[in-house]
Amino acid sequence: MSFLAPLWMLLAGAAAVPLLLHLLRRRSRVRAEFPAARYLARAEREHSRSLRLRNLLLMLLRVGILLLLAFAAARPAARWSGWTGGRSPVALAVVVDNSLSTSVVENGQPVLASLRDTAQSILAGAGELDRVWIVTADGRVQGGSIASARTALAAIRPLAGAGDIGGAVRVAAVTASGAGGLPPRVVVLTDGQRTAWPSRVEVPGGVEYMVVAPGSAAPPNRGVVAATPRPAWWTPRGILTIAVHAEDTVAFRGALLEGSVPRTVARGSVVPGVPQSIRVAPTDTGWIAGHVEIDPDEMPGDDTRYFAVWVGEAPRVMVTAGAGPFVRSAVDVMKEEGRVAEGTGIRLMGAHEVEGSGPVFLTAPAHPSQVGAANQALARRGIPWRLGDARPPGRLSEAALGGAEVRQRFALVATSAAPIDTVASVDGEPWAIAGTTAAGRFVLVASALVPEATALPVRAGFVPWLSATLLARLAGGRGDVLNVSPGAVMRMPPWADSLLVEGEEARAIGDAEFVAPAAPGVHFFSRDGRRVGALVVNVEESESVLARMDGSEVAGLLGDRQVRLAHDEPRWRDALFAGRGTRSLVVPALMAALVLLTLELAATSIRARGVA
Amino acid sequence: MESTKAPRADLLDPAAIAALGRLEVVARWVVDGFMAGLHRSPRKGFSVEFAEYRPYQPGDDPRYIDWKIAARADRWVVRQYEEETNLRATIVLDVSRSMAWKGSASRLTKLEYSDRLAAALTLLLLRQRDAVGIVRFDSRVRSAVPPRASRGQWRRVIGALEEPGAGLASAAGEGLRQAARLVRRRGLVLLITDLLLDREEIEDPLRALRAAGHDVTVLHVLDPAERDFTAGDAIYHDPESGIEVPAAPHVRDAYRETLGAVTAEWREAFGRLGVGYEIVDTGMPFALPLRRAFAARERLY
Repeated sequence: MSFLAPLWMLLAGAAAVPLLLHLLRRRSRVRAEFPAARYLARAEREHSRSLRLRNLLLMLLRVGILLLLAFAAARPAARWSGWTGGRSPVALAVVVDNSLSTSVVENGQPVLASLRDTAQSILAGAGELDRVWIVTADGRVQGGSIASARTALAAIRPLAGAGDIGGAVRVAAVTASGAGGLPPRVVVLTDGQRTAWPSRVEVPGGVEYMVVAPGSAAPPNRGVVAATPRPAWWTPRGILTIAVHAEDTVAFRGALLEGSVPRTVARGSVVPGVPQSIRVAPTDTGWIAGHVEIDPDEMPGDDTRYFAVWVGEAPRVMVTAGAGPFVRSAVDVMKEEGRVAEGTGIRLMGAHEVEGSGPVFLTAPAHPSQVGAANQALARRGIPWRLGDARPPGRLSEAALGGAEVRQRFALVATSAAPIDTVASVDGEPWAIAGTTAAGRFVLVASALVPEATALPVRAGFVPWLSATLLARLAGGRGDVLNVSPGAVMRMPPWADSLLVEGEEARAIGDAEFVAPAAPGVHFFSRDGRRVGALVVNVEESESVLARMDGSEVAGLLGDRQVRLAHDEPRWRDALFAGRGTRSLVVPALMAALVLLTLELAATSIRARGVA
Repeated sequence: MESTKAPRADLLDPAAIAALGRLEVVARWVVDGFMAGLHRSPRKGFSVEFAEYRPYQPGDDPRYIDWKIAARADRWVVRQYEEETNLRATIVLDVSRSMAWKGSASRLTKLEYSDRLAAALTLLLLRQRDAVGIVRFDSRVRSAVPPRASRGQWRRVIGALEEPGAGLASAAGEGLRQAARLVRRRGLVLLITDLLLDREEIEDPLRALRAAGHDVTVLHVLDPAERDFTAGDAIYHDPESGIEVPAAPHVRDAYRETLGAVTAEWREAFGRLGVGYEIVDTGMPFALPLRRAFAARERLY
């Protein structure tokens, strides 16, 4: 037996108090007149034996209570066989990898079912004094007791996406470490999917980790890893690009949800690693959801992929000489592809040329001598921005623009407080901005779109960018498509005020973070009651790749921590609860003190009967 | 008959009623209240030879109301008859030191309670036209008033009750023998004492009184604190006997058992002698001991 706070044993000296009181009781100096003292004397005489026994019992009870309290305060611990079968209790967090990849059927049952069975067998080995939690791949912690952990385990279902198994391990370690001094242990039950463990996981020290991974070869899987409409706005026709993960050619079917009925718009087969583009001609207009699906296999969660696209008439545009020849050429290409049409809807011009009302796409002048005229024209138009001093060269930040170099540009300076909607930026500074004035929408670019000022016009991404900018920023605010994974944390885009999740009421979310729906699908953003964009929730592409690591590789990703590997079940279960350690005797001591206290109260409250 | 809403003094807390007036005043209130509570008594000083009329008092037997006078004069009077078989009662009161004790400041001492009880008994008996006397004793007989039924007897008894006492012994045997000498005819003897004395001391005198045909009742006066020992850890001493006993609250149960045994022994001893025995708690209203003493008087008829 050992004591964690042995100094508290000094409290046992207090046990001398009832002993002394017992011995000194007959030496009370208080005198009181009591005419019936003769009866007291007779009572003492006739009941002396029982009184002495009772006094002795009371004294022993009180001494025992104080000794037990001192004993408990010293925090004793001993090795003995109790409720944990002769071992010390542990704080155990079991991480159950329930990512989509564990839904794959292997040997007649989903991998998750075998992981759950393993977890059940671990719980079966836990004792009443152990604290047990179940942590899933989405970081959710449940349990605390064996019963609640069992309940949580039974309720585990596969996620619709990859989750964050590394984050779940960290959460499990923190949970087990905070369990009141019990030895913290974390068991990781995972299929070892390589893409789920992309890099080393930083986990807290002081925790004993154990990894249980099947290590077997993953079954073959097919999944749709891409279903991308190009461009993002179809006017009214577009292209749907499809890619799959598979070992051989896969048949697919693409459908658009026009009205409430999915209409097949594409059908064919696709070779793995070779994306296939198919022209699609919708019959409906507006924001439309669609999906591409393949035949179900052992993991059906990635057999369907969703997309959303805006379908409508091509906006009419007019290009002036001030916009430059490259803008004109780009618009001509767009006209040929049907993305825009000739007309006076949107004007593309130099900033110094702007006048009148209507949506405009404005470029900075090629020569600094025209900046003054441009700023006067912007002010007349009511645009709260002007062109400032020349800024040093830089590169465009947007990935879609391929880091094109910008050699000549002007600072964009706000002339009044106005919200900034950055279309593109250079080295963190706004390069192209959008806004709305009383005269209409505008896009202002801080450079002339000529090769002397920027390499963008000669890049492949120029035409798509220009097309997207015209449609999204100037052709009526058609919003955008956000592609996220299930359960992702995100913020509401500035061009929407609510999200309509399928099967739910519209959610006005504001600027706060919110969690994307857990199930794949298409949900629409709205603003002022009309659709302005879409939230497309799809399984991560990497989740279709089921290639696995073995336990040692997973353990290696947990760093230099104390990690055990589980190869054969009896051995690793023994290791999990190994350490025939001491267990605290504080609670038994306090319980014994409580029993003695109850006896003491009973002994002092018993009264004689039959008094006249 | 009109009813009164005033509380009956005999049913009030003894200490509360005692604080309101002197001994004889309190005794009158108690007796008035007690008489109001009596509904019927076969012999309350009424005989067959008419003596006088007197106003009706609550408690008088309606049979003695003169209804003709009530009809004529619109007032109720009762016919009073000469008493032919007057009871002679003697109250023997222990005024020793042990009686001058109380277990709580809010109560009367056993002696203060007994004085008022004796006064009330005297007045009650005198109102029944009984002859009443009193013998007070501590270490010796302190005062002895022979039984009489005269008008001045009340003042004599009150005067005797106001005499000092509280001697450091209880000469109960001497007091009882004095009572026997005072009461020649068959009568009633009421011994009021806390019985903190030797049994042998009073057994012979009681036996003699019984042999002389007297009806004897012992009222055993106990303070509630003596009945239910609730004090703390201390050395308890009896100034009268000089006994000192260290005790603690845990002896309470044993004490109560002992007290139960003591009272049982007294009851058994008095029963053998044909002596009535009642426990009087100084916390109880006067009506209860009065009723018990009055019951003793009734037994003589």
